[in-house]
Amino acid sequence: MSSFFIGPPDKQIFAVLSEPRQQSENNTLVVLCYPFGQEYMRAHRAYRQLANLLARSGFTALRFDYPACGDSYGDVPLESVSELMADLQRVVDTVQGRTQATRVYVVGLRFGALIAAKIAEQMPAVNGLFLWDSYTSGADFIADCTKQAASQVFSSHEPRPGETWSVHGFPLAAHFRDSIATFDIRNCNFSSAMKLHHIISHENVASRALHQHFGVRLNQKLILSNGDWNYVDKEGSILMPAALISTLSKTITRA
Amino acid sequence: MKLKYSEEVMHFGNDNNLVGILSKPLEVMAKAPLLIIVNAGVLHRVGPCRFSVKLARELASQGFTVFRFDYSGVGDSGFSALGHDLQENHTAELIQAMDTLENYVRADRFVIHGLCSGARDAFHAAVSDKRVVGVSQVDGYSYRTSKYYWIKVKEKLSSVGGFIGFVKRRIAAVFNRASEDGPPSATAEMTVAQWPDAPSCKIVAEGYRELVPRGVRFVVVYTGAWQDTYNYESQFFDMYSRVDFCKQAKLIYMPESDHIMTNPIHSQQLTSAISWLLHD
Repeated sequence: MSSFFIGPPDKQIFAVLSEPRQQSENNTLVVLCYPFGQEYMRAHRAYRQLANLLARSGFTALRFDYPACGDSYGDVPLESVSELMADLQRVVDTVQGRTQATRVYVVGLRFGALIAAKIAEQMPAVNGLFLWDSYTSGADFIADCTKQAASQVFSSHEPRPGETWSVHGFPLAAHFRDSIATFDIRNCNFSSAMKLHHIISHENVASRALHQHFGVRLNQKLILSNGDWNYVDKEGSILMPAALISTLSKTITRA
Repeated sequence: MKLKYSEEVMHFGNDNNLVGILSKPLEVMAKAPLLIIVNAGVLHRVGPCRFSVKLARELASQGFTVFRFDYSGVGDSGFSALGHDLQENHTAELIQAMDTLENYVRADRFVIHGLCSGARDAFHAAVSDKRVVGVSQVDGYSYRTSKYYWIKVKEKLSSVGGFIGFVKRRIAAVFNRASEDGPPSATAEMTVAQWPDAPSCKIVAEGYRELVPRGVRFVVVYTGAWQDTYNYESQFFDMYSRVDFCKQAKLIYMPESDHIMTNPIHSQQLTSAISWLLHD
């Protein structure tokens, strides 16, 4: 496993690459997109475990922190999805060049699933999309954040439209909310060769909506497990759905 | 805007299995100790609400060198071949971090900051290694005092309903204790190690009695999340009433704050206090 920063000094993205120990012939880079905020903290170890399992199966797994999140540079929250996509394009291009990968898969949990879908739609090199407990749309993500921002004990007022919200300590800028709110996975124009998978810990409105929209094209698997990613406790706990991670890893390696 | 610091990823420890981020100021404040930030429980080195990152960069901008890292099996660090005692492992890895930093950036004095289990780690590392000159602890060890019980009883007795509820909960707690479920089964790699039991108040007090004459300074913070064992401002000094902290301890009681300090007002207050530790 190697960790490094990518990009110019004031816009560095922190990335971690888990590579197979032995030379592998499958030449596939799997890009893992984290969820947002508190969910990112809860999912970090699960992502590391997924990356390790993929590396053991001969895949190269890339994890990275979004700008102004985790170890990546910046304190000012992201302004727009297009700004984020430009940064991610640079990260994927750099790592793909470094690893000489000929195939790219993207995986995303919750908010990360929206970003993964966006990457899959925009980057021609991507030929597999693996959603994990996905939202259907950016509007659903914003609705969830609105509830979380309003539930914080120290908030003196309801979250206001034009302000940057603090969602359990993680800033979410107004322009970014506006730009992600219009995104809907069901409107994505995926190439016909794109493999679409959705691994879910429980059935909900989003999983049913995606299944209904994509039909048999979407390989949806239910692995009953903990899926309360947005739960906030006083301890700062993490979530490690072992069976689901194992199934997700197998689904990716067999795709 | 030009940054006043740079950062690099460091791999260190046995087999280079530990991962940390070093924040280096462009203009280093002479003779200042180096701040090490340790994991809060099982959360990786970014810290709750990204506090560790913000703290490191804020202080690096002020001229202080800061290092934050993941213990083995946490965050991005690999597993280690150390023994099974988690507390001993954390102390050993903190010492490895200090050794590495002493060689790499010529640091010979350290301040350690930790939240929750990290607060315990900071304390134990200070007892074990004389290079530690400052300790910042958020929600560390706490022990109930007679005043604590008096406040609790006063609260419970303030209403008849409250009193009945209090008695019921105490009885239920006694019967429920034996029926707590064990951890769910998991593969070894996914198992989160169990934290060791807290040592007695007397043992911790002995540690403080060793540290104070050495000149070690303390920032001690208790949040409202610790209400079960800590419920008034000066309880820390009552817990260790036989330790004369002189003016080496700064105590901050934040009953309005949650454990992971989601409110930026609280985390800013903490940052200022830690900055005090780094200034001679």
